[in-house]
Amino acid sequence: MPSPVGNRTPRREGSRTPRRQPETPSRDGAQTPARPGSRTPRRRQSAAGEEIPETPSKTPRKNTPAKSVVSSIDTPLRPGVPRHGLIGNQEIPASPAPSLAPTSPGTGFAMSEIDLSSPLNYGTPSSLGSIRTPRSGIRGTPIRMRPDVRSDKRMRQVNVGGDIPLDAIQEVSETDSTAPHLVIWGTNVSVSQCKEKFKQFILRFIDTSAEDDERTDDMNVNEPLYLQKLEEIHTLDEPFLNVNCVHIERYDKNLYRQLVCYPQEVIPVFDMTVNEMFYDRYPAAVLEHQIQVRPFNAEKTKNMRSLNPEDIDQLITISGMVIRTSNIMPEMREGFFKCIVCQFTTTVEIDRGRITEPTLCSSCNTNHCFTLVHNRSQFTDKQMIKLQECPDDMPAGQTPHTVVLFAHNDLVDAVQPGDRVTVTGIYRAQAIQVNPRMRNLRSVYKTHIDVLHYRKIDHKRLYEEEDGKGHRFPPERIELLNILAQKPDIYDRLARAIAPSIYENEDVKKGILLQLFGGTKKTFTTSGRTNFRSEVNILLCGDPGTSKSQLLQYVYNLVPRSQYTSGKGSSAVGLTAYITKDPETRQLVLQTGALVLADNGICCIDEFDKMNDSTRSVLHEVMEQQTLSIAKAGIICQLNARTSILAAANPSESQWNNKKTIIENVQLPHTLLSRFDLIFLLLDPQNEVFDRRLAEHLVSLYYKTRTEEDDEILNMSILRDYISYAKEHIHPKLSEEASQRLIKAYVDMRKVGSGRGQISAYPRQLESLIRLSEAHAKVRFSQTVEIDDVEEAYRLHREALKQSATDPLSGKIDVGILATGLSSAARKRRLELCQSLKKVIETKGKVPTINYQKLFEELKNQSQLMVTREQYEDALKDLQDDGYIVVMGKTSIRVCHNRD
Amino acid sequence: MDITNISIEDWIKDEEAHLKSLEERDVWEKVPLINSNPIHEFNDGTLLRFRGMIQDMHGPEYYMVVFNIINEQTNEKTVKNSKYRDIIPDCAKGEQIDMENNTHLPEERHSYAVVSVPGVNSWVTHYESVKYKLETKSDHIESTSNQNKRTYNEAMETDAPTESNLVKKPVNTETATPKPENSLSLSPEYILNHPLGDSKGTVCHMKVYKESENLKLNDVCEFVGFLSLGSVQCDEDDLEMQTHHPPTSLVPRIHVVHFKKMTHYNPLVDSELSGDVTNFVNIRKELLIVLTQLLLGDVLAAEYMICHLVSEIYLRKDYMALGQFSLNISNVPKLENFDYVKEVYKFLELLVPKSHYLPLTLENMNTLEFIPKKDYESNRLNSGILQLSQNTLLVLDETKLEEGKLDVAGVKSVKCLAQAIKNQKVSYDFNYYPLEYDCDIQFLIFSEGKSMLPSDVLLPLKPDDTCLNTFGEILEAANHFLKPELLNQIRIYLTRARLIQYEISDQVQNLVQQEFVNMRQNGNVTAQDLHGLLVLCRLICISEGKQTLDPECWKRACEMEKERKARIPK
Repeated sequence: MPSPVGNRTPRREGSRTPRRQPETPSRDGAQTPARPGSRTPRRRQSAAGEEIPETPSKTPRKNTPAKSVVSSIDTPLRPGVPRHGLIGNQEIPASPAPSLAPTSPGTGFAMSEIDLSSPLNYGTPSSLGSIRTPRSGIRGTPIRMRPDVRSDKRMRQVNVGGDIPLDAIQEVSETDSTAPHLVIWGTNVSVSQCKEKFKQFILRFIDTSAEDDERTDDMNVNEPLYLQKLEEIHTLDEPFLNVNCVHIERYDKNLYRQLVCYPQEVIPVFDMTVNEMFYDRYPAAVLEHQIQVRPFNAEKTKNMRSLNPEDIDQLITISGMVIRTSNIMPEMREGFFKCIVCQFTTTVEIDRGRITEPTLCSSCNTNHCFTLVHNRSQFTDKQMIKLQECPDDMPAGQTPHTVVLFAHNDLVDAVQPGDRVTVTGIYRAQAIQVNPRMRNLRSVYKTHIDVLHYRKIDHKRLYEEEDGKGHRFPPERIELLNILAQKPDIYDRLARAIAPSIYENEDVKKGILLQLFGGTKKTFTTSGRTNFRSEVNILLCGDPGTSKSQLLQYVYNLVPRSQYTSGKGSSAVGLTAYITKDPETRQLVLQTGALVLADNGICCIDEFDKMNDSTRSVLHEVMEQQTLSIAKAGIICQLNARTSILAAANPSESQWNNKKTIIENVQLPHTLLSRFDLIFLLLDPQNEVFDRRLAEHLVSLYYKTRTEEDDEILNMSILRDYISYAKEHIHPKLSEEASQRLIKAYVDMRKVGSGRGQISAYPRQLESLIRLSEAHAKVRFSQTVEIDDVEEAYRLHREALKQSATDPLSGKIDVGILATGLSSAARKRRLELCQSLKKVIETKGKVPTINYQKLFEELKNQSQLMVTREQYEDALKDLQDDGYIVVMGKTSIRVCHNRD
Repeated sequence: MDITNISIEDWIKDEEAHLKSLEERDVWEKVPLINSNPIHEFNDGTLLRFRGMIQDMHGPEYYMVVFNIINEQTNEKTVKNSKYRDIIPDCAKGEQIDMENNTHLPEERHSYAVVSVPGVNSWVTHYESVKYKLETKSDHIESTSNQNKRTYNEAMETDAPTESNLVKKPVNTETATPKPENSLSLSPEYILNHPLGDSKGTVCHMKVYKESENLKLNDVCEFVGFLSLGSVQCDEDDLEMQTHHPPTSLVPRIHVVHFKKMTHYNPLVDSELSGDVTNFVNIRKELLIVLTQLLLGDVLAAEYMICHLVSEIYLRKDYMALGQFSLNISNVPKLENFDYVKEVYKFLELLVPKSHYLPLTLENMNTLEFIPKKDYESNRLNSGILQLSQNTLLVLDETKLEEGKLDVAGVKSVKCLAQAIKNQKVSYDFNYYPLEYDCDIQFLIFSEGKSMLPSDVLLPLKPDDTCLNTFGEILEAANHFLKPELLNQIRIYLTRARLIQYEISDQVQNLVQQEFVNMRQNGNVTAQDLHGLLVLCRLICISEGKQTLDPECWKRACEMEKERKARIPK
């Protein structure tokens, strides 16, 4: 900061604000009349002609070593303090104007102080009139110091003359830089400008997309947001104003920058402004204490790992998990001292973290005669909290970082260990004194964050945002994702990117891909169903050695909130929740199991078939209602388990038995099977081409050297981002055509399912199809579900069960189908049908054309077995291929007689 | 300039040049190694070297890089440097640190707890101490001065701060004034926090100033830095403060100027040397003879054992660890006069640099801590047995297991072991959530029947009757056979083989594919079997010192697998 030394000169006795004068005598002469000018050593230094710190606001604010300063002048007005009278009968120099107005612009040597702890001050020139009129309200509301901001009680301002170039201070130069104005000492914040800007912000800012936890029920999004909040304060008597920094940034970038860089100075100014406005509007209001502004959501720092010394004394927002909270520590706010000689008492307020013991008794003029009277001193609550980095933010192979938080007053005990929170606060660093006697200073700073605001990742938010921390992608990343989404083959690409080391199984991977995206979340509160499942459940069933477990492992590692259990080892308790007694507190504690832990994630269950029935029955509720009811040891509750389930099972005879139907092979209760959206049969085809490609694939894993990897565009991090972006931002809706197609597909499924040994379709399957279609639309980043999506969902659904390969007559899977595409029984049947059709035609004699529909009816009547339209069409096609008939459109068939 | 006597001031003056000179091997080796010298031999501020494994990360801390000093008489101001120090150096009389007026931004450094590598075998430490043990004055005056005989308690008290050590003032003056024992004082074992509970292990706290992002948990590195012995008094009853600032006599602090990651821990092998593989085949033969005898005449088991000894995870792909080769030797005989597994382990210990023998007794399973657990009270990671650096041989002796009850902790231990063997991953307990860390531990399991733990290769031993009867003689003969020279050759061979770069040529690739297809046609062979074969191929290949897979190795691998599978009872 280029401001020359002259501007920083210490406040001289002469430039004292006249405002203070009337106060002093009113306190029955208790104070030493003038406080030594050297209240802060900072000033002394500048007097010494030292170079001015580059950015003084960044230097760690150290506690000044005990200085014999008597500073008991300004206890805040509290109710009951016989000071009210003063206001009425005294001519207050109500306008601090003289103090603010530069004495003479030319000199540039003006310094003023605003006593932040006095409500009188909240009237600055801009609102003089208002403050003077209705006084009662302010009188009823005590001012409480803010230990979180740790504001100096008096704000020092410096007059920056017009002749001083201010190149580094953009915001100032923007305004009329030639006019002299006051800035807060050591910063480039001009109080009056800052106030005015913030006032305008409150008056004008409208946010139509306010987030849920910022909104109250009857809030009008088209009205200025923060004015409504003031009203809320008035109604609720909760004197805190939470301000979203993003709003400030949107409104005024400079104001935001000032707030982030100099929170210690700017937040009190905000406080001042808000209080003025509040009492302007609600003059009769009485609050517990003055309104405190709590900013949150500062963009400065998101990640605990990226905190660095640059952030010291700045406003930061980080998220993490609370791991430890201390007991409440009382911190002295105001020390009560008594003179042991003459019993004279005095109080001293905390000043930058220190209470300085008065040395000289003003009553009896004895030195060092004061003792502290503990139980008459005032204390505030303070709590130490340890916040640990979320595991998702951590690079592999590192241990999580922790950071110390200090919460004050109302924020004490606001969080519990285990909570995931986003904290906004001021980052502090303090040098540690090893041993005052030895003068050995450790060169290490202690760092902590003074908490201004907690944002809990609570129930409501969790429902909206998957991960709770609201992924924020840099614009280039979003652009990349969008470009990827435009690619026509993105679906296949993504599917290939899943578990590339696992060979082929394209459809299974596609299914898992859709599971990762999930359907659209919907609620039908009106129709009585609270939650409509959007998660896709998948069962992988098949021969051993078809890498089911690897797929599960891959998914488990890809998805941030996922759990992996084996059906063999887990009990119902391990899956749901159990009660334990905490060894220390002897309290009953609810320990959550895998399903609850995987809330909003994927729960991978291996060896699903080995699970015992009672365990499996737990899954019924989870897989459809997405909740988990617990009634144990006096704890009855319902937990959320909005998890997708990816299960793997071996066939009942450990090897797929070709002679048995699907149902016989899988051997799982129907009720459970129907809850899976996709049931994949992974069979070992055992043919040479497949084997060769598999071998090639595996060898290549070992062949590639350690370095040449990661050249693929779609590596795991992109895949992960792609999925979370889509999950957060894309919520596809069904189009009209798509709905029609869905209905048709469902009807078809019902028909197929009537065959023997098949998994028949329930209304659940229709829901499955919808979910899958939605997921497919999400893959394309499309907000509507098109016919193509439905087609793919339907295809996948059929493909999964190998329905195409299942012989509808016997209900068994014909493995030959995987190679030829047609089962032997079906081939035989088709041939028979063809023959009988030919016979029917021959009985017609020499007619040139036959009615299409009529022939179908006749064929059906003749045949003992059921003939579907598809089969009929197939037979016709075969005959046509033989050159026996020609199908003329959809109505008639011409018989070719020229052969005989 | 003599690097061993350089002071911090001199170092800072010309940091780059010193770093460069440090890169030379001779200079690097000259820096005294803490591992083989007791810490009290060194003065505060000496440049030292330490080889260890990162056991815990204490996170970043901010320190003052420079600060101002005011001379009270002349009001003169000077700037002093406090990098590579814990405590701001004392200033001369009449000078005062200007704390209020510190305009310099603090900088960041990272703090790590580094333990001497767990499981290092005695031959390695012996070799190191022969090579790096310093001739100190104390060796000569050992009996005359009590200075070196500091016990832990004494050392804690006499831990004179900062410069006093430099002056070498008599220690006794300070011990005269006894300090009140701190109520929270911790046992040395607790402070050391060594994964294998090795009370002889050394622990240092490292302050790393740069490139700390390259350091990962459980990495084995060689650090060079300045020793700091200044004690930090923690008057608070804060467990965290105490565990993070243990007495420096027990846990010295080192301010790191440079570190290198170590690819292996074999002091006989210089990492720069390129693979000289000419006599690999011969050494392998010799090793095979010894192992065959030790494994009671079972050649196949000996072959597998060699492969196991050179195995490592060489690639991780989508969370699959390629190259893992955990070996389960079952059908281990019970000998009357010998603890067979222990006897075998005694030899294995001689061959590899890092190993650990763990009898899987019920008591061990129920009481030992297997996985590291984060303690939030003291804010550190309490170590567990499975916190091992890469390529450590862990011998699990299941023959010691008896019937009895495995309690909750025991079941958990078995689970952790199984997970580590299966995926080469250990999930550390962070109380609120588990976190997985990759590991690379060679698990060798000896059991009577098939082990309850999973393994990649199950090999039932086929003991020869004559060998069973003459095991005592076999041991003697093997001891006699393994002359120091041969032993060293084998040690070098095992480490070197692991460092070989391995490839598969296109031709062999085709051959393998064809063979696999044939196998599939003939019987029930899964992809998993091919994985196993490919790993075995690689191990056979590198154990013979070859860089590329040839058909011969492939055939050998197939035969070995066939023979092995034939032994497994259906």
